[in-house]
Amino acid sequence: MEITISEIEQITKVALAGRLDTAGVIGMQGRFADTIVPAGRHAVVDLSKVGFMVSLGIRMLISTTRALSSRGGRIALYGASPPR
Amino acid sequence: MPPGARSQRRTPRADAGEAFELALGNTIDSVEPARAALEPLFAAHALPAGAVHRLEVVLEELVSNVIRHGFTPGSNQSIHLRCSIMAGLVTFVLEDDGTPFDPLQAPEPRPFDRIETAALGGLGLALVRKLAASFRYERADPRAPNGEGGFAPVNRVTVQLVID
Repeated sequence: MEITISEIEQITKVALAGRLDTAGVIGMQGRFADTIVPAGRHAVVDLSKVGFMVSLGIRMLISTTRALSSRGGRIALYGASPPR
Repeated sequence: MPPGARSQRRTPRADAGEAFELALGNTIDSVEPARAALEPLFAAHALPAGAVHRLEVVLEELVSNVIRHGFTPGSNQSIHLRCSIMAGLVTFVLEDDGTPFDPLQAPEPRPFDRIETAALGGLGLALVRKLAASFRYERADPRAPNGEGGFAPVNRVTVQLVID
C-alpha cells in the first residue's frame, strides 16, 4: 500500500495506491489518519489506484472522515473503481 | 511459510476434485497468508479477475470476523480453511475450535446518508451475504480431537459463490 501526500491550496491531498485489504489497511491507517486529522484542513483522497477494498478500508475512510469532521474539516473521495 | 499460516496441504480427492486445506492461527495477521495461499489455486482454475476479487473479499471478511469474534484473546486456537472449486461453484469451509460465533446473526448495517451516522461495523458480513450464493453456520458438539495438533472443530461456516 502506497500513500502519497501533497498539499493544494490549503487542502491536504492523499493518493492511495494498492490494495486496501486487511493487511494494507493495518499497515497504513495510522499514517493516513495522522496525515489528515491533526491538520484539521479539508482533504481530498484519490482512490484511482486502489484496485481492491474490504470493509476495513471503508471503516478507515469513515472513521477518518468523522475525526476530521469534529475539527471542522471535510473529506472528498474520488476516483473509486466500480466492482469488476 | 508466512506468519499466521500453520500448515498447508493440497490433496487430491475423488469426490470433490482437488481439495485445498490450510491451518491458520487466530490472530489478524493470518488473513494475508490465507489470501496468498489461495492465489495459486485461483490461478490454476483461470478464474477471472472479478471473481477472484469477490472470493478474496468474502475470504477476508469471514476470516477476520471469526478472528475478532470467535476466540478468547490469547487463546492458542486455530482456524482450518478448506476450499474447493468445481462446476462454477467455489466453496469455502472455515472450521475453528473457538467460542460460538454465528455470522448469520450479525445485524444488517443501517442505511445511512450522512457519514456521521454511518455504521462502523457490520459492513463486512453484509458484503458476504450480498456476494454469497449460500451461507451456513453450524455449531457442533465438541468431539474427540483429530488430525494435526489435536484440532477439534466446533464452529463451521460454509459459504458458496458462483463463478460467472
